[in-house]
Amino acid sequence: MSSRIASGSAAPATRSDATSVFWSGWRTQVRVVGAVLLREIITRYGRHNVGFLWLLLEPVIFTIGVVVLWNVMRHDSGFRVAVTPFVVTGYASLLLWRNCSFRGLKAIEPNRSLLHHRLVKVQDIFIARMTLEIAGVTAAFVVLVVAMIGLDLIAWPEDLALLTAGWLLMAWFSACLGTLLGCLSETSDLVDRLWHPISYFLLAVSGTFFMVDWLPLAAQEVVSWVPMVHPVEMMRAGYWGDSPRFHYNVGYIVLVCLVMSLVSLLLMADRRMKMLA
Amino acid sequence: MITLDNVVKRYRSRAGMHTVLDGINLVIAPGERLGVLGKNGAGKSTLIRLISGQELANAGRIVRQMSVSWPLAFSGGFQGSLTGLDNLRFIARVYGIDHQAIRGFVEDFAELGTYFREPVKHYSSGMQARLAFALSLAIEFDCYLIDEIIAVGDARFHAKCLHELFENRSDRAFVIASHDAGFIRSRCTRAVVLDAARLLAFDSVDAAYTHYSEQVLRLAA
Repeated sequence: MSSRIASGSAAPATRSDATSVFWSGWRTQVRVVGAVLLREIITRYGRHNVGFLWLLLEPVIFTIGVVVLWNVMRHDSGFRVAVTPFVVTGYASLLLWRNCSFRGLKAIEPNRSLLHHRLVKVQDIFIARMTLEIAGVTAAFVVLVVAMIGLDLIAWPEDLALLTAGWLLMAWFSACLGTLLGCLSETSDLVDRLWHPISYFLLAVSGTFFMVDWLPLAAQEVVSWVPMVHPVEMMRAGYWGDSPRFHYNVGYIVLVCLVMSLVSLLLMADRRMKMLA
Repeated sequence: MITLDNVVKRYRSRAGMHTVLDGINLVIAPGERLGVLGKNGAGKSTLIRLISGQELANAGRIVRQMSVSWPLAFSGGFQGSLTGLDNLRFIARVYGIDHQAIRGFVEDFAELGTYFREPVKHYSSGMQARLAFALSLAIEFDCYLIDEIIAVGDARFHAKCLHELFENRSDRAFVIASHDAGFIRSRCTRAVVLDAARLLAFDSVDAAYTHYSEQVLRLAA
């Protein structure tokens, strides 16, 4: 039989004690998130057929479908950039924030039984869900882009670092969005119900279907307030380089993400989140 | 030592906030066996969940200076779509224990046979109870929280559980919530009664037993 679990609530007396308490807390958090993550994979994908590879395949299939559709439907006249990279960057970003937001909604309810264990916190559930979602879409995006370059369907990106930075900012934004909505959906059913139509409208202005430069100036002004537009533009700027013109503000999206992170952390730390259990 | 200092728990209901526990003070010493008596709805399970940290109190403080189990309930803490083995792995990961080290014990104790690798939702309620109990015992704690122990399995399994708990772990602390006053009287070293959101302390288990029995009789009359 294994040794007993340490109580872990002794007050730190000195600085080095405080450091060791921090590290033991950190290790516990990593361990618990890992446990929740693996559990999430098994409950979502099971052990049948390709199992957790669906995490990758779902977004791949979706994006390929949309790429084919756009290529078939496009009118050769008028489209100012290569369709495939445009669609891949747009839809992969869209999948990132939409999947994260929907996985975040009502995330606590089905996992309530996990909170049975004191070590499992609301934070762990969100970290696990968002990590999984982001990992899946990111893997799909990388696989698709590499495959398409390999098959000579698209060109190599001009500025890989900028493309990656855009992607990472989009992932950060998506994780915050999912967590925020998840916490809020615990307090009111309205959040869940309203997010469905709202996310649908946001889709139209999120930069998936347009580049900011194509829009009239007045419309450019309006969409520049939509956070998702900035990382998508960054990714496309990273892909195509300097032309056409791209419009993004790194400071704005970082600020939005910081504020959202802070609010998410406050909401998760809110004692009521666990009291509702 | 576990210390509850002026703990208050309220739940939201349609008729406004409902106070389940109001200013509970309690100290649980290592090795102590504390019985919590109370009629249905008196807040026994709520108290157990608060001590476990599964829920948070609205006011007051709970200080845990020994490791505390999750409530040894007989279905909670499970994911129905996972197998018994997956649930074992999950719990081992959460508590930072090698699942191989406890697997033998759990398989042996729960007596699930091939069902150990079936999803828990296909289990009978008795099987679920056996798995839950085996998992609870596989991780060693200083203090075990038990909510209505009486419900577990058949007589033989029940006896096995009692032996594992009270003989093999006689040095640990226990908090046992039950409306079975006889069980509390025979197993506990101290008893308290929950009544009208308050916790009543007594000098002896017998005094608590008498108070509770009279309360039940009054209700029945």
